Amino acid sequence: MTTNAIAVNGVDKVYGSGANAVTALQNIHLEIKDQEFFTLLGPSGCGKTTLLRLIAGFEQPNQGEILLFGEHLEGLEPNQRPVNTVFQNYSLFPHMTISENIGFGLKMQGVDSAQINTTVGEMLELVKMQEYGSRKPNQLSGGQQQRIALARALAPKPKVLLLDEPFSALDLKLRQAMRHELKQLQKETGITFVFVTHDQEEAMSMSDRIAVMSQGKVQQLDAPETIYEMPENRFVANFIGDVNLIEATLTRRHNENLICAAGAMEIIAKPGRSHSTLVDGQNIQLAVRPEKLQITEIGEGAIDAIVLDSMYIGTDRFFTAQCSNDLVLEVRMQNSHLQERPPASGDRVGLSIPPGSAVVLND
Amino acid sequence: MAKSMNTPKKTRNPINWLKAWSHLFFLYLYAPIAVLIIYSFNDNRIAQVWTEFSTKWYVKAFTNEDIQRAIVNSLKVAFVATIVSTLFATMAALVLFRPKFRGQVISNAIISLPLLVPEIATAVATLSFFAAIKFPLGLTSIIIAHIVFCIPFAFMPIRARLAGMDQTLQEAGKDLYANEWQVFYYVTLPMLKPGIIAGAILAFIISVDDFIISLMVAGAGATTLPLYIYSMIRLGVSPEINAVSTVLFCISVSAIAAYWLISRQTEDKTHVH
Ligand SMILES: Nc1ncnc2c1ncn2[C@@H]1O[C@H](COP(=O)(O)OP(=O)(O)OP(=O)(O)O)[C@@H](O)[C@H]1O
Ligand SMILES: [Mg+2]
Repeated sequence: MTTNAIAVNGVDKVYGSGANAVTALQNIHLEIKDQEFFTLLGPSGCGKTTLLRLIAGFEQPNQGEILLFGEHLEGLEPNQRPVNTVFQNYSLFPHMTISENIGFGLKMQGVDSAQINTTVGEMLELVKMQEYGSRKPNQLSGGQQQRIALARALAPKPKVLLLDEPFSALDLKLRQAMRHELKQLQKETGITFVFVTHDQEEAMSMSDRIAVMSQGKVQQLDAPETIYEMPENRFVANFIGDVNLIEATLTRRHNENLICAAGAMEIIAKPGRSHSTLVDGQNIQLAVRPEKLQITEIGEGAIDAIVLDSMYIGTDRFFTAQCSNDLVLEVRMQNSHLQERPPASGDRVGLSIPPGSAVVLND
Repeated sequence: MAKSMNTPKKTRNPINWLKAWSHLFFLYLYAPIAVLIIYSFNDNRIAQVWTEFSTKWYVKAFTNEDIQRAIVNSLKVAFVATIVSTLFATMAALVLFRPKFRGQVISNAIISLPLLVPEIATAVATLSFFAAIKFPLGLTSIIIAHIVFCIPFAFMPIRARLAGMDQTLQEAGKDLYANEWQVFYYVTLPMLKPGIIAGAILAFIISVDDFIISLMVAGAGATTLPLYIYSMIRLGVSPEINAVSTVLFCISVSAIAAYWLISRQTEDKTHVH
């Protein structure tokens, strides 16, 4: 049996008390595997930082428990937990050199100075900053400080590395470059990473699994593809990528699929995780990604529609198409798939939703 | 066109007036000091009549045993008062800056209040206190009084420094396996150092320059430099007084310059972009 790197069991966190009480986390259950790149993704204020601070030991849960490789963390101070944090604003010690910063954790652990020097050298090499050891933090660029913050947190070889929006102060290009580096670093070191972000692309591109959070709760915990292809509820569907939400009625089941009716259109949908509880005739909510929809000649699709708007965005083209009074769908098509003259607004077209591309949400 | 040329001129006018006034003001402020310094190098025995350049009053002042004793007394008092009051102020700042506790606002006010109390009131109160507990007046009583009234001055820059400090640095320290004491020694204290130095310099200046409280609580033979200058001046302004005053002035100015240099330097250093 493999133990999880981190197990969060029924954790509640409330800040303040009485009238000022803010519930930051509510009944959180999570299991993070060893060597996993795990991401907490969610909008501002959903409790991501709070969860990290509970793991690091800066805050205590009001309810529930947190285990690190099977051991209870309760009662352990942050300095007693084999967990390190990369802070959002880096928090490098401004009065120390880069080398002293990186060696700080080891020094506090009582490692002898020869060993510290060796490790600091290795860490500088790992983040490709060999020449900068004797500088002070304010003599480095934001991206460089970022790497040093990483090196400093990795130097004591923590069992888990916590990263709180480490790229938020970097510009877009640098952020994208750092994604690859961070993923690479995680593979090389074999350390479990818990990464916090509110940037879905960042989460998608690096994570083994993502916990999508909202209002102090975990909305869905899955691999990135599953989160995108099979969102469980409206929040997840809306938060990750673009989506069409369609009100429909379940008419019957066919093999694994659900046949649904939305107005005059018949949609063959994939069941979400809640399909066993569905009954025929029940109203359901479907989600379908704009790129799954297809535009056809009029009459050839499942339904006819009028193009309301056509927007060119480089690689793709976005269409807004009205199928009926209360059904307006967004369609996204790659420009290489389009005919010479793409449909313009006012054109009448056909629309089809390929079987299995819509998924049933559970709310 | 003409109108648009006019407007900026009009708005610049009052500024020019202010400039002129402020020049006058500075002249008024610094002219006496300039006169003091210039005449301290005057050869003539009558302080206000210039004859020729000479440093003989400095020589005379420094060979005067009473003045020597006064300078030594002033420095003794200032050094002890600076060290002890800065120590107290640092501890007070650290305690008062901890996560909120009951009475924090009151405690902050109590520490800073002496800045607002008229010095003469403090002086009389201190004297009455020493009299009440029958504490013998002398150098020790001056030192104790100075320690007490220097604390709020030393406290201000230290607290400002602490308030401007990034709290996550301490968390980063803890996260990297430092216990409370190690966080204090390796992170908080070095970051606080510029504030502590500034506080100490401020306390030193205040102590060296103090006259009123020293006058009240000084015993026989415990004459500080300002007290000595005052006793001399009652016999008339002499070039020797000018020389001694210039020395006192220079001590204060160099302390202020040091304060300014240090605070500027550390501002550049500790800001991480
Ligand atoms: N120290 C605190 N005292 C009171 N409330 C707090 C405290 N820290 C956080 N909160 C509240 O708890 C909730 C969750 O905050 P948290 O910092 O965990 O959010 P987050 O997901 O990290 O957001 P962001 O993406 O903006 O960093 C918010 O409503 C916040 O206002
Ligand atoms: Mg946060």
